[in-house]
Amino acid sequence: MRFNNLREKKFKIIVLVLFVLFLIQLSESKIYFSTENNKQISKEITSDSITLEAYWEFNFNKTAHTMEPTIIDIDQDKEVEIIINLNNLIYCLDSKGKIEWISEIYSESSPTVADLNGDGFMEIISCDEREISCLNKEGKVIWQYELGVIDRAETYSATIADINDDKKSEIIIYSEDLFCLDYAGNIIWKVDFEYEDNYVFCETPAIADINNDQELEILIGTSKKGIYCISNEGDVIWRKFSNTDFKWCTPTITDLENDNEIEILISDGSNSIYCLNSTGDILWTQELGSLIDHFSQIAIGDLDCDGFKEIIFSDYRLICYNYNGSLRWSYFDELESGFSYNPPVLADLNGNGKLEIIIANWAVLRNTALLYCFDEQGNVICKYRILNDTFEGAPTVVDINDDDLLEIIISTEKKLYAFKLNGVSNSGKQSWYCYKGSTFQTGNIDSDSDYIDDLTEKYYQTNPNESDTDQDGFLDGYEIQVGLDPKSDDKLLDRDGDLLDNENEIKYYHTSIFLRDTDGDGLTDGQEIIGIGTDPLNPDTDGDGKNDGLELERGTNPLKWDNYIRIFSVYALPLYFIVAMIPIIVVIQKRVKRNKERKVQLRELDLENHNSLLEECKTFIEDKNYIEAEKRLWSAQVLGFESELYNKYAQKIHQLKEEARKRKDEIAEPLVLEGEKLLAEKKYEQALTKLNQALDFVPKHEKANKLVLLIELKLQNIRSVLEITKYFQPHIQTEVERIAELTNLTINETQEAIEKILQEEQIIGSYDVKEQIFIRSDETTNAIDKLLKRFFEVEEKAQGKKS
Amino acid sequence: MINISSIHIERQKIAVLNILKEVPSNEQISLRIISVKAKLPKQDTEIIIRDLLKEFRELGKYYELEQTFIRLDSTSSAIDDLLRKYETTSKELKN
Repeated sequence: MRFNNLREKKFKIIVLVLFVLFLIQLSESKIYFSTENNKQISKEITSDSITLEAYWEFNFNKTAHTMEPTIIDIDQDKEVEIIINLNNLIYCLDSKGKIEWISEIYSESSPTVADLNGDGFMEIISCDEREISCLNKEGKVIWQYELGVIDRAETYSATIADINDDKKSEIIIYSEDLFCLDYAGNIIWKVDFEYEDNYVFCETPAIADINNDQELEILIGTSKKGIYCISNEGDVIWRKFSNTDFKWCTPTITDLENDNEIEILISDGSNSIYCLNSTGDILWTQELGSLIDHFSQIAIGDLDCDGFKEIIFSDYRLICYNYNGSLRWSYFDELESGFSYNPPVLADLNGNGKLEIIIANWAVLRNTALLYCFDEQGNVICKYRILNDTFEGAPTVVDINDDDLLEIIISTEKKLYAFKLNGVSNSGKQSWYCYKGSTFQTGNIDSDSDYIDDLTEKYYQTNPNESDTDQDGFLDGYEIQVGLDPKSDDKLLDRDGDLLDNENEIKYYHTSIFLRDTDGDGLTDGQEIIGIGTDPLNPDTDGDGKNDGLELERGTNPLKWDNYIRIFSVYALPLYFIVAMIPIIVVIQKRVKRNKERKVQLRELDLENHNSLLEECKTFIEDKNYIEAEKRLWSAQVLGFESELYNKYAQKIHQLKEEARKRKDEIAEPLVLEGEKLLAEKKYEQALTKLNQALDFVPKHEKANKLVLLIELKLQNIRSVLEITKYFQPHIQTEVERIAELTNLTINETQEAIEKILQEEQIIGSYDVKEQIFIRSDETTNAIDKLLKRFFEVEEKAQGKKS
Repeated sequence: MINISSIHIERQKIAVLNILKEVPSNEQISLRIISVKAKLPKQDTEIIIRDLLKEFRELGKYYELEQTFIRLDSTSSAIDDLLRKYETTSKELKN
């Protein structure tokens, strides 16, 4: 018993110790996703000098799905526009958040913007899984390209770069296959990744001169097919991770080690960040230990200006790695966890020369949208909270109102916000200012914010830290896009030889620097602007329907509405016809009027006749003479009037006719019965008389008509027998069968006929009913003829009566 | 060579004569009754009667429209002669 108590005490102590250990463990691991590298958590807000304030808001008026905005001056009006995909439509807002246009095309991607055709205005590339669309600065479709892939790909944004050095931009887009289109939407090449039936997750490709061969390559992390490096002609240079089942984010390409060799940073979407060299071999890997599947783009920038770039990445934390992959710091908000897939952007918000990190948080548990700004050491320097809303995608950090201060533009599910910075006098550079680094989404850093990333600048041998290397007033990126030389001042050059310098063409006239004749009217831009004064963007400046060039050739004035053929055909001729038609119209009108009057008069006369006919009809009805009454009524009807009186008389006539018919039936029926009786007695003439009387009352009496027909047939039979009897020898026996044979009658009919003949004129002969033998008497021809005549008359009478 | 058709006609004549032989003098008999009794078709019977009357006019009188035959008086021996003649001819033809 004592032993048992001791054991019980020991057991209790062990349980207690275990419970205490469990509590300690729980307190240490209150962050569910704690990892070995995640040592620095829940940083304090160390600076409250910057505050964010909503500069303007664009209210969607409903919950909407939006994507990262692209901000650029698309129409060269010195004010930026904000292009954003909102519920699969492309919206263009001005710098104050007012709608400029909404495109009607369906889109599933963040828009990519570039001056593709060199006309000085930006074009917008938008995609869904079926087609790529190119819109102009007014949102109108310039061209569309059918991707022709099976509907199982999720398409992301296009990347734009001049990959083949033809001084024109190409569009690279991954949607099951990798497509390369020229600036006009024609396919240049396509890489088929040979997907079969699995759903394809498509991310934006990155572009850079990866292997230092002075040509641009395309890097793409494909869905479950590995990472590809593809040449500018569409050939596969290398392929890595081909046996993995990963989905990859857009690669970030940079020179981390400052050794003139590029490194590639890419995440497999769940567990690791890889740093690869230019041949795709792994340099280092960082295990993330994330439990969420996400595709945050990796951002890079020299946060602390030490000459080495830092790597910034977000999963549920915000993590900063050194260039060599070692952890620099990480941040996790234990109260409002979850950065999710929103990628960070980097910009010098407060002008201290160092980059700040701006990232949108997604506080899942509290349904709150949070916007963080971190300094280079991972301290939160400002935070903006929106209740009951969620941020969608990455912010874009640009100066939208030209006040030397950066604004942060980001959308939630309900609104698009432009935040301004309070407590800041000026801002600095923004080297990774938007989704995927730069407007053209090449996945590279753009240190000098000149629309071209540093690696591409290296390729073009421009200064990555100077936005306008040749100081000619055009940003390096822009010059490369429109085919100018970013290293020499070519603003005064005339690329297309139309006598207009490039600067004027781009900045003021908006004519193409590639085309001598932008509007295609046969006159060069220079001729039109300097010489003639016509509009180089309008082939028919005076709007008279004649091309400017044609007018000049024919000696007419392209600035004056002088298309006399047009005047004649459009105005004079129709006017002449109208004038010529006036007397004809007047005559026709008069005739029409006269005809109308005549018609009215005739109508009045008809009405008078109609009324008098009805009066007559009434008199006949009173006399019960429905036949005459009906005649008057018909005549009245022919005149085309309908009146209550007409209907009333029609009804009365109908009643009278019914009454008469009934009366006739009452008289006709007994006569028919009597006729039937007489017929049975073979008294054909009497029967016919009765039936005729019946038919006088009811001409269509069915039974009477049938009986008359029967009598007629019987009379015909009698006549047939009589006719043949005439030729029989007196006192010679003739069998009924023989008579039937001669007359084509039946034996019964023949017998009946013989009996009737002998009934009428016994003198004709004798008939032995038993032996069925007929014997003709002497000298009976007269009697036969007499009988024949009589029956013929009766028969005629019958024929005349029957209906 | 045996003329079967001639034998057949001779036999038909014999059959009709045997019927006519039985008809009393001045009595009328219809073609139908003769053909029924002779077991011959009506048309054949009529042809036979016409042939017989061609050979022996005194045999009687045949009314074609009425199809009635009247046998005249004292023709029994003549009918017998005819019968014998036809039977002989028939036998000869058969032999």
